[in-house]
Amino acid sequence: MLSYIFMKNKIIIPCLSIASALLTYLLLVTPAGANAWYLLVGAGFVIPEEASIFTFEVTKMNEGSGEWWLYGQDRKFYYHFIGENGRDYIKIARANSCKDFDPLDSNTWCAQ
Amino acid sequence: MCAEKCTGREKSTIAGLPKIPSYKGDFPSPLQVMWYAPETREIFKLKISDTEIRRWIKSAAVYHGVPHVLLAIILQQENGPNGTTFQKVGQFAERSITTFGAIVDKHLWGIFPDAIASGSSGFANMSRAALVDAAEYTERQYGKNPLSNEARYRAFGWDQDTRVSGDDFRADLYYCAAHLRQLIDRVTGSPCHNGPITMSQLRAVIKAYNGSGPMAEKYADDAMKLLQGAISGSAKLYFYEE
Repeated sequence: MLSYIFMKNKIIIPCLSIASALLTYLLLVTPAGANAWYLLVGAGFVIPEEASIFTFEVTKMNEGSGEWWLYGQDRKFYYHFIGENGRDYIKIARANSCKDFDPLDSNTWCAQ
Repeated sequence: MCAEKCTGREKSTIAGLPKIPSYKGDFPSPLQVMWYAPETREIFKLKISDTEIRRWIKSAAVYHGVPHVLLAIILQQENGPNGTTFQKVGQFAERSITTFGAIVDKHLWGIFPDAIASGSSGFANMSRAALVDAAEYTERQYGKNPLSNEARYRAFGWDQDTRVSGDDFRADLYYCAAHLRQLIDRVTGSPCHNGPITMSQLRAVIKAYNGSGPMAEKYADDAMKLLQGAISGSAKLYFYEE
């Protein structure tokens, strides 16, 4: 019986360690931790459909008390939150041909 | 070039605002628990009345020369009176975690994730960036600390001007009023605004407090409806007591 528990713990402990390390990595190294927190507490905070909680990265937050993002990005797109009913955000490909393009100024985002 | 300095005695009012009745009851929100550094005479005090907190609100508004009603509206907008107890507890927990993160971050070289540490927190739900900017603006433009001496120095001379949102209920009010002063100056285009602001300027200040975009527009519309309700008597300003 003792050896059984010992063996069982040997399996559980490494599993827990790996899971903890993985969770820490996801929370601290990827944007997942920040996104999870914002989704939990920020009214109006959304993750674009094209992105995921692991890939979407906020590049500029709203500067007031409202906790929504203004600009964000993932591997393929830049996003600008507009928060209108039925249309939360607009997007543009990272590989675009806009002249004087600035990812943090939607006025420079040309039609593609 | 030297920026023009204000006297620190400027006072902004709301043009044509009729008298609004004081509220003397209990706050429906936030949760009746707060982080607070006591004054020497308050060391053994366990409860602070809502009327006394409303006195702090008025003092903060007077100190920064912003309309008392404006500060009361912002506080009500940021502490929705219609929330359930569960929501209030959740809000208290969220703001406490953010405040804890900001304190740790400030003292330990920014190790806490920015998403939490720099988020909005405290009684007035201010972000760290907005709070620090407003505090520095008050010092630079008005030549005074964002907290009055009475609000700043607590038991045993403790200096409560920590520039952290949410670690003290009373300090939050002064930082919020400082930010409103900054926004009034910005919206009116007058660095030391002194005199009345119009209703549309008031709305612009409220919107700027919340941020930008359609959601901030809705926030401002809701706040203006609240003000109209308070004027007509159909709504109450829970944080307003003359």
